[in-house]
Formats: sequence, structure tokens, C-alpha cells
Amino acid sequence: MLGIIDCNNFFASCERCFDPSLLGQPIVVYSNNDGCVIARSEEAKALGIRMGMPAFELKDIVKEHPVRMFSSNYTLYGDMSRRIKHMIRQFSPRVEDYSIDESFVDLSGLELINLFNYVKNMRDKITQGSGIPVSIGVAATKTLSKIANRICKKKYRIVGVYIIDSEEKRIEALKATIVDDIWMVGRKISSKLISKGILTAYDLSNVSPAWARANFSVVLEKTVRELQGQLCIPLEEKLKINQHIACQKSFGQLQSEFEPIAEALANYVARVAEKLRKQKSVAGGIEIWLGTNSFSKTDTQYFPKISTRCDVPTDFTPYLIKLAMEALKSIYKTGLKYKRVGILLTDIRPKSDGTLNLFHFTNREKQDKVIYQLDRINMINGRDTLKSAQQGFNSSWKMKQNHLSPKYTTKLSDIIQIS
Amino acid sequence: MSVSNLELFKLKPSETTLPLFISNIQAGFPSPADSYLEAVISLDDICIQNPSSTILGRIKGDSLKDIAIYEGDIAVIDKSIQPKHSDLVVCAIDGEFTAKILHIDNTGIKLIAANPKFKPIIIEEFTEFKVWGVITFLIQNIKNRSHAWNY
Repeated sequence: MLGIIDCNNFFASCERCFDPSLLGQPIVVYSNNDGCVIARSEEAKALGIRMGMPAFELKDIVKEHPVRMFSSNYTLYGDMSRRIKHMIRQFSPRVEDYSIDESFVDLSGLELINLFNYVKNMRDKITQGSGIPVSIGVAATKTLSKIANRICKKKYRIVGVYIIDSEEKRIEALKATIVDDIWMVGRKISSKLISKGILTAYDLSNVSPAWARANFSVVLEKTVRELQGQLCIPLEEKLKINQHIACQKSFGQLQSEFEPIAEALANYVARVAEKLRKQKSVAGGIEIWLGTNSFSKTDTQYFPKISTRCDVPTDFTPYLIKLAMEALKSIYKTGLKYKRVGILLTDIRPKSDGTLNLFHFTNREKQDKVIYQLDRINMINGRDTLKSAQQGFNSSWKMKQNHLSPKYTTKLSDIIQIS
Repeated sequence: MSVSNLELFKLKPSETTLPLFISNIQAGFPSPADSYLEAVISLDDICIQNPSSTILGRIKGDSLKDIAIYEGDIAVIDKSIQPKHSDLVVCAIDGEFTAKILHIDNTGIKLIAANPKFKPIIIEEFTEFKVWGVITFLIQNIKNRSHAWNY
């Protein structure tokens, strides 16, 4: 059997865990720049606040109800996620971390004990130990366990566990699930399915896998088989090398001058290079883009993009910053109001690969030593203690975070206060 | 003056990822102590049984002064421990975190402060009450406080 462990309203629950005044209150968490709603507590859902609702649309609701608003505090959510994932591994050695708030776990080999009791104990221990309520759905396949998790959240929230362990339960669960709510079925596919008269997961489980492959794709074929109870999508324990490392954020306010944009970009480069080193990869090239405010009806619009190659595939921040600055210079035009700048690392490969350039001399060993020390110093003393001068000190480009909560678990001056 | 009741240990910094010896050993006579080196003691290992469920909190006010816990102290709180009678626990009351001694007997549950100024809180039947975490260790800056002593 496979299980999926899902944190209930994860971001909102993290905020509530460390601030008891939020008990029973509607909570919303905003996206970067406080733009739109990306997480809601149950109370906020009950007020009709939708996912993705722009902040300004909330004004009327906030006037009548005491909605508590938060900027996204990814430092806190990331640390809580790390803690929960650590706890999960005390109950099952085989885990696939699927997203910041979801993990698949292998629950095989537990035939001799009561599976429900085991999973229920796991759920209660994680919920108590982290302070974040979690739900666990268990079934024979990933697709079915996702459905079990939905049922758990809807009907058995207090228990926090639902197991599809019989043919009757499987059929009942499939009948209660519309195709839109099936894992890995996107909106395009679901509307095509509906037009063919396939409305529920039960309907989909009754088509032949060959038909699904012929009319849709091998992905949908796997979904059909998984709904029938046949395991097709195995647990992926190993962290895949991330082939797309990118960073793009909107500026807190529109920028016209080159310097602040360059400074923002240098900071984004530092972030992506850090991620690159963490997964022990190097990048063969970068892509840089700029964008104006596409919502403005009066501003001149400009969305340039440029790709460039590294002399030698690298993870060395100063080199990548230099390359990014050259690229930015070539696409930057004066007199425009820019909303964002972004970077994507391309041609990502393992560092052990060791590609060198015949015509270029790079002292890689020296660079590695420097960057190792930089990462070490920043790990101990906090991010950007040591940084490239290009990253600067002007921060007019920084995102808006007007409702940021303390970093309760990672910063000593931010820890909870107890009276 | 005697220190006979103190055992002294060498402590390591809590960053367990750092190697103990970074420098290259240069040629020369090897230290005879090298083969006697043992893993050092970590404060983390002593104070933190369950790292993923441990949270730190700062003490405010004087409600625990009778058990020598003062404002500014840092409490190590383990959320995974099942609270027992007479444990020092953190609970959420009226929208705030508060530390109290959990008192359980056959008359019911009480939360008691360690300062007569504060009245015990009696947990009525059928009220929802949850212990947020159990305080397991305390960090006090004794050096900073020693000037206030009358010795």
C-alpha cells in the first residue's frame, strides 16, 4: 500500500501554529509581493475567499470580517516542511517528497499489524509533534491514495486517515470523485473527458487502458490503470536533478534605472547559483529576461529575452553574475518602466561531469575553494553575510512583504514569547 | 572553594556538518594524543531529543520565578512529548503562549504558575484545552545575571 501525507492548509497552519491569537480566525497568505491569495484557513474558505483572489478584491470582505493577512514567509514554511518530512521518515523508510506539503510513503510490509492503527498513530504523532494538522490517504496506488486523501479531508478530517482497502471502498470513492479532481488530469483533458461522457473517476476506471492511450496519452493510460488498482507510478525516492533552476520576482515598485535592476538580477543569480551548488550541478548557460507591467494600458510594453553560454559550465557565482550583467546590458533600454527581471540556468549537468574548454583557462580549483568558504560563512552567519558587490545595498526592487510574520524557527530574535 | 561536584566536558559547536580538524597535517612528529581523540559532547545532543519537534521560546514576565525561571530565559520546548502531571508546559490561553505547571489529580486539571501573584487556572470539564509543548530544558545567561546577586 502507498500513502500520501498532506498538510492541511499548510501555509495558514504554519502561521497559526506559532500565533495562538489566530485560533479559529480566518487566515489568508498572499503570494510574493502580496499580490493574491495562495493559502486559506478553513474559516477563510467559508467566507468565500477563493484561491488566487487578488488582494484588492478582499477589501470588502476584510471590512466586515476580521481576516488575518500574511505575506508568504517561505523561510518558516520551508523549515516546517523539513521538520515534517524528517518525522515522516521515522515511520516509513521509503518516502518521496512530492511538494512542500505532500509526501508519498511506502506502507508495504505492514500486513501483520493493523494498518489503520499504524497510520493513525503516525498521523497523530506528526500532527502533535509539528503543530500542523496532516491528513493521510492510503490505497494501492498513488492515484487512488490521492483520492483517499480528498475523502479524508472532506469526511474524516478529525480522524485524519482514510484507507481504501476493499473493492467496495474503491468503487464508492471513485464514484464520489469527479474527473477534475483526479491527480495528473489537467483541465484540458478533463473537459475532453466530460465531452465524451466520462464524468467521474469511476467512469474513467471503466474505459480500456488501450482506449485511453489511443485517444489521449500514455499518461492517461497509467491513470486508468492506477484507478483500477494496478500500480503504474512507482515511488521516486531519489531527488531528481533539477533541470530548471530559475528565479523571477516582480519588483516592489516599477524600476526604470539600470542599477537597481542589475542589483536585483545579481541577487537572483546568487540564489540560483546556491541552488545549483546544493544539487552539485553546473550550468552551461543562462537566459535573462526583462518585462514591463503587462497590466498597464498606457506604459510602453517590452519583453526582451537573451540566452548566452558560459565558457566552461560553472557554479561560480561571480562568473554567473558577470555573464548576467553583460546579458542584461544588451537587452536593457532606457525610458521604460520595468516590472520584473529573471534568470534561468540552462544546460544543467552534474558537476562531476568535468567538461572543460580547450581554449580557456579557468582555475576551477581556486574558484571551488572560494565558493566553498562563501557558502560555509553564509550557512553559519545567515544568507548574504558575504556577497558580491553587485548585489548591492539598495533595495527599492525588493518585493512587498507588508504582512510578514516572524521567522519563529530559524532566527533567535524571532522565537515565540511565553508569558 | 571546591569544584569536586562538577564534571568538566569539552563541548563542540552545534554545527555538526563542520569537520573537527580542517587543517592539513604537516610533516613532523605526530601528536601522541591523536589516537586518543574521541567524539566531543554536543549541547544539542543533551538538550534536544527530538530535533524536528523542538521549538525555542523566550520567557517574559515573572510568573515562574519560584522555580528560578526568569524573563529573558530561553525555553527548549518539545512538542512531541506526552505531558504528565507536574510537567512545565506551554499552552495557548487567550491568544497568548503561557508556561504553567500542569497539575492533574482526581479533582481535575489545573495550570499553576510558580508565583503566588498568579491564580491557578482550572480547566473546566468540556472546555477544549491542549498542551502546545513540554519545556524540557532552559537556557539561562548566568554571567549576565550574576551582578544582581547578593553574594
